[in-house]
Amino acid sequence: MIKTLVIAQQVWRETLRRKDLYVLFILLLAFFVALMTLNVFGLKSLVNHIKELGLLLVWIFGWFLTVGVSARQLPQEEKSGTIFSLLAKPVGRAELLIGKWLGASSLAGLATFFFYIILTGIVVARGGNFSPVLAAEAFLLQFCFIGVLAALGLLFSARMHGDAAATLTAVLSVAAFLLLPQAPQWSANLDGWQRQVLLAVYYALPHLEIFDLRRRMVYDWEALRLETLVMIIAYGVLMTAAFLLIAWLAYRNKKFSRDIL
Amino acid sequence: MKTIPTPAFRLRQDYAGQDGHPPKGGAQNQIPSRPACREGQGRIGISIAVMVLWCLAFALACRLLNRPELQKHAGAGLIAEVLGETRLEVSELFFEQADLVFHRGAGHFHRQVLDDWFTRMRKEVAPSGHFHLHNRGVLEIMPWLYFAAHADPRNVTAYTVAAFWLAGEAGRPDLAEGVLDEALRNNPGDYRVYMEKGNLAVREGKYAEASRFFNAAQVLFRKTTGGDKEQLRIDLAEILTYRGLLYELEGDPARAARNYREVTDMFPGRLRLKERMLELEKKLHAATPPEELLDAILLQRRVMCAENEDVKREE
Repeated sequence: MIKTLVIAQQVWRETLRRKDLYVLFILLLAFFVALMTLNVFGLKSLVNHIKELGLLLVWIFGWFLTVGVSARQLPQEEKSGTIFSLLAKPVGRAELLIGKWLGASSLAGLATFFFYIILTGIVVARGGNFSPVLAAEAFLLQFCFIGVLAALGLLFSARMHGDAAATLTAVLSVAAFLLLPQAPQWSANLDGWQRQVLLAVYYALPHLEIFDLRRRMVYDWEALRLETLVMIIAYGVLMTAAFLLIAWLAYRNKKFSRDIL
Repeated sequence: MKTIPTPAFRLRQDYAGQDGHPPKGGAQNQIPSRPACREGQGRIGISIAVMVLWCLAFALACRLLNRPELQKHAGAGLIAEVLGETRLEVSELFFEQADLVFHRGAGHFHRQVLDDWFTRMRKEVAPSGHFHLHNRGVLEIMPWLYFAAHADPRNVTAYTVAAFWLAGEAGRPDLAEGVLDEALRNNPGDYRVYMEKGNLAVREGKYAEASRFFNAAQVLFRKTTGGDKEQLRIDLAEILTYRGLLYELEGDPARAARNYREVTDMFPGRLRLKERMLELEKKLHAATPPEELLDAILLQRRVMCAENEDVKREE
């Protein structure tokens, strides 16, 4: 456990040193300032568009950060050669993977939490508000989403170059988020093996859209039922565990050569 | 390891001695050799050629931008310049977002093909049902209409819808007028802007002004080519009906009856209008005062706008 936490701590240090986070914070603030100075047909105190665009940005930035941090962890260790000194210590590859996942997902989760705080501050300053229960639920589900995404990034980076892993994670997750919910509608127009293949893809890929509570938050709907919330969280945990397991299977016998460094 | 020497490296080598260090022996030794001089002259030649080409390109760009058809686009704004034709799609997306906001985030109705766990979860997570924003809450659609109108300044619907709700639920006809003025600047030949301006004037009781706007709308309508034929018929009927009521107010029942006849020829099912036309033709006045009918039409229009939105969503 301690070893895992130490590895997670290293992920934090490395990411904070790279200053990606600060850039994202500054970008977010710049965007909010631009949004607040917008003169919409001479109307003031409109807040829903700030909520909507703000949450969209929080999601995009969280997504970007998670993919960026998780997919580069293992390839970076291999590229710099630190993987040899790391594995020379009594650290198992499973511990290494879990430590990296913990570091990446906790960092991205905390950054997202701060993004939420900034957004809430802006919304309150404009005279709007968020339902606290719904905001907590939304953050919790987004945190689960980050966990799944970080595990997916690690899975691809276990056998790929960092950039390739990041690209594949981004493409797959965006496709899963945007296109997968449409698959049942498309399958209605197909038959035979095409329908079967489409439905197989539909069930095999992670359903990331169910972690998204943005619309409920923006339009002040009631909070999610506890039963539903627990089921979605359980699904997130299951997907994360499955991806980490596959990542471990791919990584456990991987051979590293000093010659290719 | 061999490296390919760059021109700058070669230049440094020319200035340097055989061993790579600057040659000793005063200023005379520092004069560049003949090949270096030639290379320098060649660079100056290239620089001059680039400058000349740049000047020519600049002059040509100035010449081309002076053409009236290109100047028309120059006022489209930065978004239009950056997005190009994509802005039409972007504008439509913003307009759809306005529709979504109006329905409190509840998306379009889709018949469920599967009834699996994921579908059930999606249904639980996403808002569903049939809701509308009311009163000043409707104003929350304005930013999206603003974005739609600025992404594509020719999206007249975005302007007219914004003006309609600003004048109605928001109680800000002054802002609505500003929006329509902007629409007119960007779409001077579109009858729909004049039609909406006429509606706004009727709402404010400025009947003379409304008559002018509906006259302009009618003239521009005749010049309109293309578009949805059914929508064009509905719009023409609206213009003629309003203008007919305004003719009645101006004391010209014969012209009003002519307008109503044109409408009833297009839509034979409009029986009340037919009755009114017959009344005017026989008695030269109708039992219901035109002001009352104008108010009723405005109210009906507000209800129909919301209903049309719902019908479009269910389709």
